Amino acid sequence: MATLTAEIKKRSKKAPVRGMMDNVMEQFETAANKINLHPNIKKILSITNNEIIVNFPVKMDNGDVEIFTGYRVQHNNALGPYKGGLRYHPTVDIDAARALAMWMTWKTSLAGLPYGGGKGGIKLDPSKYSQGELERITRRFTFALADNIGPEHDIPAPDVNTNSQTMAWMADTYMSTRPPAERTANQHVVTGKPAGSGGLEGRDRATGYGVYLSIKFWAEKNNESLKDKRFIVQGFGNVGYWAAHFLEQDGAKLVAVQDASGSIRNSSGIHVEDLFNYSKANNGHVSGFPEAFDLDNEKFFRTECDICIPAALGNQITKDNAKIIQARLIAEGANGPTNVEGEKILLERGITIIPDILCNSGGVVGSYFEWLQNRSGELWQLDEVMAKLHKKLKESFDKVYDYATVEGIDMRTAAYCIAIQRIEKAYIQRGIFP
Amino acid sequence: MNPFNICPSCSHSSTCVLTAQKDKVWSCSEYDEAHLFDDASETTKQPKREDKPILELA
Repeated sequence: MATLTAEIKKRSKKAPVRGMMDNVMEQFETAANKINLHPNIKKILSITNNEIIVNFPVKMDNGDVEIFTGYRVQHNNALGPYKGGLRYHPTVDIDAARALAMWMTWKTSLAGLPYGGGKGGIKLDPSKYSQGELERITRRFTFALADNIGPEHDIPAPDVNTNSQTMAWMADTYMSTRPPAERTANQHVVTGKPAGSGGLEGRDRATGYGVYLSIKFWAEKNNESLKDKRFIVQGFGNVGYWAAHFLEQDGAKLVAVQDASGSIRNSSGIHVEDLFNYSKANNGHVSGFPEAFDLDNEKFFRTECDICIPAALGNQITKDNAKIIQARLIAEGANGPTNVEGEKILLERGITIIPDILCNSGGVVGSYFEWLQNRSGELWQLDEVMAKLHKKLKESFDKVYDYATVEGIDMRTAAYCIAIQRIEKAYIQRGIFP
Repeated sequence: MNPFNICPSCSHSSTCVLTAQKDKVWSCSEYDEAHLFDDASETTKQPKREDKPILELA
């Protein structure tokens, strides 16, 4: 470790902001202490490698020119190219990108992928622009980023207010800037593309399928069957719906759902496809579903069940409601749904938490498969994708579960320990140039 | 403005029951940007410009 003992000059870069990343930073500190992370590596991981800010002009539909500011933060690439989403939102700034990029580093490391962490976006309100303008903004942003992204360097993906269409524009623009003979070899500069343009079959269900698999693996480890297990889901979007869909196929029973519109419950079971069809016809809302009754929202987490799947947003399980949760297992489909105080209470009560960084990693694993598929010039069928997801997620789950068991710690701490140790190992093996 | 707050631009913001902490949300499966990718004629609120030669803009 001689190469790592040299004093690293103190730098003036800002550390990732607190606030929404409080929990992540706290977990990083806990895990770093647990594994006795080398202080020099801790210094490296506490700051970002690169922070790119681009100001670029775009011609609007009315002929005026607007200047936009775009960001790309590359946190760490010890394990491979930077990987992470691009969001279009008025609140995007370098601090937001910095914190989210760090989060991606842990996530890709834990998933065992050859990626680092990155994040970025454009500061804008997309509802103010036409589709043509958003296309030109996206293309010009891609051009401005130039070689700061690339299929073997930094691979963006969709995030808030960006989608498969955004990625298709980015891929097309990036490929157009390459020499003609190299263009098609650069399709994997972004992931999350439409299935007809290099995207992955089944990408829509990858995260929800991963949530379901995490629950299934936990049940197997505990010699339990999912048949007749009662579960509740917060959020009936892509993640919540697909997780419920696969759980129902295994005989589990959905008994309560909460989304932005309200909460519903039926202790005899809610048929997932019926609810999905109702929701589609009801502006995406579950409230008013005729085969369940509307529930007071504060009673949702009190529902009698075996499994609770918070799959909407952060800070949902806190010291205020952790005591009333009836489930024996929390499967975190959302990012950061349990805060530190809430988690402490749950663990004291003997409730298992499958942490977000593991539980919802099916999405980034799906992105990896898309990248691999493009890189090797293949087209994978849906059944192949699902089988590969199963294999990859089983490896991650077993590692975390076994580590937690052997060390006598919770699964979240175990997950962070594994993620950080993997990066530490890479630095130890490679050393620090020069 | 909280840099991590996506609620104000969400179409569910005024009625959403999921959280009272609408100044701390940075990721949400229910997030739905109002009018995203709608037709230009309905969403673009920019003044009409007078016709000017392109070169003047450069």
